[in-house]
Amino acid sequence: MVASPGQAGFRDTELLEQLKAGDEKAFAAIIDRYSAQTYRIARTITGNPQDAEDVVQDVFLTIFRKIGSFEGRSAFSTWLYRITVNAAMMKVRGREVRTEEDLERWLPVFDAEGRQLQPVEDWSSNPEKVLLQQEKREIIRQALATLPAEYRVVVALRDLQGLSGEEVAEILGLSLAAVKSRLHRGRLALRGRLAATFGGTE
Amino acid sequence: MISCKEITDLLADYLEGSLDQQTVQALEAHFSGCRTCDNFLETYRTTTNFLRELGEEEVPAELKERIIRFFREHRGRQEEEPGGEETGSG
Repeated sequence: MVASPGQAGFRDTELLEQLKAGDEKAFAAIIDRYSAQTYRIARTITGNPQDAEDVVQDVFLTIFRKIGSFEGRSAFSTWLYRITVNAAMMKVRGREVRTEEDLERWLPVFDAEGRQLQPVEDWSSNPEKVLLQQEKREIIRQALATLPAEYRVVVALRDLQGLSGEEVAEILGLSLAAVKSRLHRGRLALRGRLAATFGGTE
Repeated sequence: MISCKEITDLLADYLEGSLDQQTVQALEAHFSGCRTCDNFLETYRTTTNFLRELGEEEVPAELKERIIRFFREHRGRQEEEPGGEETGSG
């Protein structure tokens, strides 16, 4: 079951019609097209590669089994990512211990006039000087793991995956304002965490 | 005069380019006079760049093969696992 080169040119809607008709090559083409993104989203939400792979396997099996009920009211990718997020959140449910307080301790603090209370150093070029790419990624992953899951999911879809705010809102069933707020707070907390690692004085 | 806190609240919209010209000018005037916010902007931007890089990371080479193997082992078991997770119907 290998996707033929011709299938790379098919649009999602054509592949889905073939998949509904039971064409395994169409299924292989869907895996070819979406497995990497699905894996990265699952990895960011669950925080580890093995859980991510379990999630991805479940997701594609679910896609195959439920394709008949996909009505195309939203884009296929929206449906796929929604299934991925649900499956990944199931994995972390119960073991997730991160709270809003965990996030808030990394946010900037201001005085009554709206001035930053702590000095802010520009550490943005420090990681490149002292770390290998792999080490840097590991530090970012560790920082991500300290965010509550509902923030990780927004960061995964918006910043790692590069989806628009509107797409993320549709996938998660949230308002655009809620997506923007979670993304910004999540980024602020990550910035604060990374400052503690990469900066000297913050 | 726009405060550091207000600047911070607008960073995501500023980087996305979704602010009106007048607000952009007010932000940039603040950045040029406030080292703290300028540093904060650079490190906020760097944080988003790191996240984007993480989104380009290689995935395991055998991932697709393993998905297909898992699929072949489990595809026939649909009737044995009634219900399944709630996933929405598109």
